[in-house]
Amino acid sequence: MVDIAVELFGLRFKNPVVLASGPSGNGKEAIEVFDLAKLGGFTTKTVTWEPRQGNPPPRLVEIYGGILNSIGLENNGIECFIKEELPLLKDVDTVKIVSVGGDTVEEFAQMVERLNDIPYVDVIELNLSCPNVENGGISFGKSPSMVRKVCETCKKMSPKKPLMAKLSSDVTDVVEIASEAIKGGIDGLTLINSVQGMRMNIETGRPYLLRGVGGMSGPCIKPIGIWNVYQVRRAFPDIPIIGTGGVMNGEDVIEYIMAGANVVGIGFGAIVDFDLPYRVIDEVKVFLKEHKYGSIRDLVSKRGDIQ
Amino acid sequence: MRRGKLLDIQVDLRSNYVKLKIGANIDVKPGQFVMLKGDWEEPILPRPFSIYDRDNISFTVLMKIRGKATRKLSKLKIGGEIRFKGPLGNPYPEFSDRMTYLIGGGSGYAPLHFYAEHCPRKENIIFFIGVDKKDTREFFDEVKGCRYEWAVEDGSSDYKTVVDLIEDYSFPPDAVLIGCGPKVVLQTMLRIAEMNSLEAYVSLEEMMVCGVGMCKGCAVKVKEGDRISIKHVCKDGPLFSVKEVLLEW
Ligand SMILES: Cc1cc2nc3c(=O)[nH]c(=O)nc-3n(C[C@H](O)[C@H](O)[C@H](O)COP(=O)(O)OP(=O)(O)OC[C@H]3O[C@@H](n4cnc5c(N)ncnc54)[C@H](O)[C@@H]3O)c2cc1C
Ligand SMILES: Cc1cc2nc3c(=O)[nH]c(=O)nc-3n(C[C@H](O)[C@H](O)[C@H](O)COP(=O)(O)O)c2cc1C
Ligand code: FES
Repeated sequence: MVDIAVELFGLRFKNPVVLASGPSGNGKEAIEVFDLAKLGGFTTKTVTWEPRQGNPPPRLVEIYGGILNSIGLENNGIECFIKEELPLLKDVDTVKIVSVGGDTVEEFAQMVERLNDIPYVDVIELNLSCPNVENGGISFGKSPSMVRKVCETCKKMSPKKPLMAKLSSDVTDVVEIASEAIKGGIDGLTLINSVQGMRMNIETGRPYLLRGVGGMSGPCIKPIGIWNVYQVRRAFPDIPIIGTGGVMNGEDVIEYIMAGANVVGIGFGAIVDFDLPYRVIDEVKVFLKEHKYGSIRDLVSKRGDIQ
Repeated sequence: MRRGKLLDIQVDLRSNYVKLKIGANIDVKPGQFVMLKGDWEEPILPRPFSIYDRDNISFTVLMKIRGKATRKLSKLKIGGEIRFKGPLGNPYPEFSDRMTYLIGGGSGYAPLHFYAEHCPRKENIIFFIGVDKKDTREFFDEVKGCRYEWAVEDGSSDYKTVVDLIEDYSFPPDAVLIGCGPKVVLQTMLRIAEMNSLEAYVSLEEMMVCGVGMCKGCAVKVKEGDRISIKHVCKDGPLFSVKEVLLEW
């Protein structure tokens, strides 16, 4: 028997696989499609203070090894989310991570304050990296001082609940950004969001996505995710990290853990094939068994020095 | 994703259309669709296809060869493996007692064919179908008992396009129109339905990944009274009433 559970922030993740924020929605559909109790955790789609319609279509286009999306945080706003959507997850036996995205520091803080009162919200994730909105998102996430300010302000609103920041790889130095988040009191980091990119339609001479730029997801971004996790782990040996980007199988999860992740997020892979997360978990077990690791902790303790 | 074996494949290289018969018993209703992918890494996304036909051991899709995935699917061998998710989307509504006009262009014929097959009163169904050439028309099976008006772009019939066909036709006031095909056909339907206060529905297409309403990729704008809101083709559609749908953002 191998033990694949992971402990973080005093919470028990049954296994190191969580669904990443966005692709699998806010839970309403996901509770029908997935057996969430079999997963380590579920992250809800980033919710914003006001409802958002998202960007005009086309919002998606296929690329080699993944997709580009420019959804633009379509959601019904925090009020509706707290009243109608979030309660559906209340009794689901998995770690519940709620992602929030603000246009301003105040919006971030107000949402964290609201969520702080809800006992079944286990973790709050600040989306400081959405590539598909004009305000907030990556425009905050690129600025070390903004990242620190958002983290500091939000931590005050929710001193007890674990608070994570989701960072982008589209920055000059991810370690500097991570460092500011940590100084701001953040409890953990999610790395990475989708990576900015574009695909041109050579028939029309215009980008496929109406908005032009989008975020890349899927196996094509895995090396970027691994490298970002690795750099941050090297600088901060103890900060909890959810490694995300391009996970399609158990070996990818092992790779992220060896690069320094505690837990691993799946976005794209899970919505292409709804059985993929369980298969990934089984493959992680098989890997541990075959390589004679008794547990994830065992695996972590035997990973090479990160230097 | 579920798996099924390819039981039969008919490729018509003159018209560039393919029928794929996949061995899996799914409880699918007319208007619903599946997302298909072969046993390959690229292209990575499964592709949505409406159901053209089904029986207790299989379902069939009618597919136009367009790009990477459809070309690869068209080259599969009998016995080859297909992965799919579905049935997805909502069934088309039934109107057995009213004259129902099924208006389609090209591969838009697929869901209309399945719809008519399941309709108990075939005499109430009239098809208006536009295709590019005679070969395509011959490749598309007609549903016995229904009336057909064809528009063929190569000039082999009286009308060249389905737009011309429906612009020339006077629909009875209690007619129901259901359309699936290129945007110009749907736009024309919208206009005709509005001018004549007809009940009409159009089947929409947008890029899809999840197929169940989670990823928010396949958004369309709709109006409910004065309110504009967002719906998703996969979960709320694919069929939308012309009263609510806005074809442009
Ligand atoms: C609900 C629905 C039902 C459909 N039913 C049929 C059908 O019965 N018969 C048929 O021939 N075609 C149908 N289509 C269209 C079909 O999905 C595309 O022709 C097919 O995906 C093309 O793939 P490709 O790789 O060959 O071409 P590509 O060159 O990759 O794409 C050509 C075009 O196909 C569309 N497309 C590609 N990938 C997707 C995707 N993942 N989701 C949605 N659209 C995509 C896009 O508009 C794209 O520009 C349907 C589409 C939808 C949304
Ligand atoms: C359709 C789609 C929507 C997404 N929406 C969000 C979101 O709302 N909030 C967020 O933090 N990340 C969002 N992401 C990014 C994912 O959470 C993830 O970080 C990224 O896609 C990389 O992981 P993957 O390759 O496993 O998908 C979205 C990604 C996709 C494909
Ligand atoms: S395809 Fe994901 S919401 Fe429609």
